[in-house]
Amino acid sequence: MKKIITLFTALLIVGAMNAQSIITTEFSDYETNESFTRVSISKKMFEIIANLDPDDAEEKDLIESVSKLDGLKIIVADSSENPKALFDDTMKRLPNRFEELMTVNDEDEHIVFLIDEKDGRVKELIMVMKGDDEFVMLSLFGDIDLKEISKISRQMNIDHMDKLENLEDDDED
Amino acid sequence: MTMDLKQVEQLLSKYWEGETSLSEEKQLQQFFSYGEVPAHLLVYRDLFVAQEIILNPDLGLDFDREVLDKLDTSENSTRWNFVRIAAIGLILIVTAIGFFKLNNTTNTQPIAQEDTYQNPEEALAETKKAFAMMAVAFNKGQQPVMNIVKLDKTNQKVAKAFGRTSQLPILNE
Repeated sequence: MKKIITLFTALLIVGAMNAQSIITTEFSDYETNESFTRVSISKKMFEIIANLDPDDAEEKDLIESVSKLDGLKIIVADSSENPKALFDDTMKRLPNRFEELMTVNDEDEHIVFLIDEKDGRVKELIMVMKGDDEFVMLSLFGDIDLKEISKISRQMNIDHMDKLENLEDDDED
Repeated sequence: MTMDLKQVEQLLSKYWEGETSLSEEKQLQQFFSYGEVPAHLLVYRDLFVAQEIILNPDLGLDFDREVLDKLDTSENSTRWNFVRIAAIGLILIVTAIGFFKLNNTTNTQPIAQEDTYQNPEEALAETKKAFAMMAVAFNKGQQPVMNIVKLDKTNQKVAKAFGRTSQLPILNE
């Protein structure tokens, strides 16, 4: 009986914490660290954003998928911090319910994407990045559609993407 | 302590006269309670057995069973009490957590006001920046894959040009 009660309580507490970012639950020290640049956008703000008139189709897609989010949190530590130590510490502290989605390594950056997925639903997508003089942790939480997000990423007018598309064009010639 | 019938009949007639002593009455009671009562004296048996029971209250054969029953029910009722207490405890916990959660959500209003941006346009711009950041990383991660796809396409073209259906060995390396 005691066990059941404990279990029940634990479940309820976990349930209660559901709608919070990992940054809030596990990395509150980052959130309160004044030397970091911290950005927080709430569900409420996303709801307001959803009412904005989109400038173009790309923005429309972005607004649409963003309106389903519970929040976005970004932590940026600049050159005054030790990005490597921060990165390693962050990876160590991540609960193991986070699965690695993608890792990108090049000479000056190390980026890891992780998701918290349950029953086929992604509840949180986080990106942890270590640069030469920068550490970034980004958390998207709520009802996340990975397809949607990668579609948006593709659409975003990024140099890399342009290059890729150019390559594609060359190929067709 | 057995008495023969004669003695019993003597005592009985003495008893009806009201002349028996207490010990003689006791003898009669015992005879009727435990002895072999002849048929013609059976009528009196209940009288003396009743006396015997009243004067010597015995635990009786049912006693154990009754006590055990009682014990059982009292054990049962304590078990029930426990369940009841547990249920009450559970309800309390659930209410407390519900309250806590409610409080939490009302607390998120100030947190929502703690939004980094008060202006939805700015929030959208920041969201875009976050997605752009992810897009860069996503695309960086996908670029090698795309290159392979491209290489594969080129190979197929070359293979076609040379009239081969198989891929060039370069891919298998």
